[in-house]
Amino acid sequence: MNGNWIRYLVIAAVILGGIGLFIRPESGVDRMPGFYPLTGVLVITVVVLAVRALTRVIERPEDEYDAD
Amino acid sequence: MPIELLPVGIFWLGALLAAMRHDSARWIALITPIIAALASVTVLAPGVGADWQVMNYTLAAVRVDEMSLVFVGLFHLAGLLAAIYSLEHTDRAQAAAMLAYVGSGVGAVLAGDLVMLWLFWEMLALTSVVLVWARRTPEATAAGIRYLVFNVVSGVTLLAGIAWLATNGHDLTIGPIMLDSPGGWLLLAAFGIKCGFPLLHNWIPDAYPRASLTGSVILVAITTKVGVYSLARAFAGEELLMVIGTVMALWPLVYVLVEDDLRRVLAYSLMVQIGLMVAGIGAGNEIALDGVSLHVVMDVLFKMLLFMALGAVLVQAGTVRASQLGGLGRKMPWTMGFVIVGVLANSAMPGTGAFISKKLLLGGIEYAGVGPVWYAILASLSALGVLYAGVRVLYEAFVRQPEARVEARDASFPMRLAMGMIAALLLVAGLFPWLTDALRPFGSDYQPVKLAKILDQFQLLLFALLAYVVLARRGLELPASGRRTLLDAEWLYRKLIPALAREGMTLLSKISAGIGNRIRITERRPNNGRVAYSLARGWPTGSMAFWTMVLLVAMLFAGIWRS
Repeated sequence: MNGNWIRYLVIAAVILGGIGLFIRPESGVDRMPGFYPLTGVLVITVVVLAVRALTRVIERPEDEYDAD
Repeated sequence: MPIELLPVGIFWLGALLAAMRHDSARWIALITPIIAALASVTVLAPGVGADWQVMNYTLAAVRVDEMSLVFVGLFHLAGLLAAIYSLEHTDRAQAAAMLAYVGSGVGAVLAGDLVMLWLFWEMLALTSVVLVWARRTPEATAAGIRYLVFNVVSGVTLLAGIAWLATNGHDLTIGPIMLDSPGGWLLLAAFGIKCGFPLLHNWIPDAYPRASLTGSVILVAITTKVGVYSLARAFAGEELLMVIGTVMALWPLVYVLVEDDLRRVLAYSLMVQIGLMVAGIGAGNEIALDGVSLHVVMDVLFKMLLFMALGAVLVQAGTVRASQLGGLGRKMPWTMGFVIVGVLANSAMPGTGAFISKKLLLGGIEYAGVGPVWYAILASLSALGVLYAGVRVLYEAFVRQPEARVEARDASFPMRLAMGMIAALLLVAGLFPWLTDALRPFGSDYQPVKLAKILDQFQLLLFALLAYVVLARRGLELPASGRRTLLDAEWLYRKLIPALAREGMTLLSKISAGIGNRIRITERRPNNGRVAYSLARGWPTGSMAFWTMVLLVAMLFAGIWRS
């Protein structure tokens, strides 16, 4: 992914994040400003790092079950 | 058989004719029964019911309500789309099995009592396994056997639960069942296998990717959805399901993000979506159950679309391994376009029907009173959909440059037609959300399409993508695809349990041989240079006879003691 794409992503995120400060659901657990940006960033970071770590643990050769 | 089961009868008759048809009559044999069955659905309306007298027992063969009609319509649609898609790639056995399978699914969601449900439950297992074996590879044969074992165990468990309920005077009509008896738990276990609860799920990623083209497309539409339907009927509002559903949605994440076989990625991603549905059933309110019904429809559509696209890739490129694919976008532009729609729906992007269904479902879960962290985890599953469907399927197969040249051309016309119809349905449902109101059987008035909700979803997806791009630029991207086995719960029954069983048998044979020698049940005699036994030709039979005798004697004494 080249630099332009990242620039566009950042600009879009800033604009959407800014609008999101003002337009919020009237009720519900997600009415806190920044709920979804925070959720998106946190979950992706935790999941990607966890997957990288777990893969090393559960990875086996392709023929693991060939003797079945 | 009552007239209300006419759609099922037409499917089965169609299956019989399809098994005998000539190849030139492919269109007629596949499409006609589905259209005829769809037309016959007009005999069904909410409130319609029919009993079936079998010997001295009255079966509630059909009970129709709004929810069962949603599923009946969905299964017909899925059958029609799968039939169009597979016109050029199916044979008589597959066509017959597919029609019988869809008919069994329709019968299961129309069933009025648990006995009828069990009958169709078993028919589903028997007809669908043909679609796995139809791939005709050794891997598909082995996976089909494992698939059959799981599904038959599910059927036997269901039957045991029914027997318990019947002998304890419970009503067998399909309806709410309490988890206050072994019968209730047995039914939950049976439904859980069909839904793919964690540790009971491996038949899904094992068999679906190894099934034939026709098979993988139609299998995602029916078996697990019958499980979801049964669970919603019997255990709506059972809080345990919210926990199971959440675990179920999180369990496959490592596999969807790392697996090399992209059809296996989709099979695992099916579990993520079903987990969300199970959590919704656990919430149990009208909004959540409407969300479950609508999300079942949308999930079937976008999952079928993605499986169809990968089936086309398999036909053209000869593989669906991410490590061997890339750059297909220029060679298969139509297919890539349909995959983009599927990925957007998989990520619950506003403008697709899946956005409405997922927001409705999450709205119901929120209404049930879950905390912000739990809600955030479930809401973020659509952001993870960007990763597994967007990065893994779309980017790795269609966008990035391949390591080696991949020869391919776009999917055939019937394949494109089927994929195009699904893509159109997903977009129409997203752009004209009021059309989906008819798919809300419980009539909730929750409105998921609001500016704030749309904005929230865009924020979630965008920030998730941004976070991944930043991680990737720092060298923390997802592990590279490659040929390997990722251990899952199947290790338990493919490695651990057989090893324990072998050890157990060795120990048992030593014990029985020791006891046998002591009481002279067995006697070694030379036989052409081999060792033979007087009680049997081989030691396992001899020891089995011995232990059977011991058990029978023990039972005899137990019976005498109880009397």
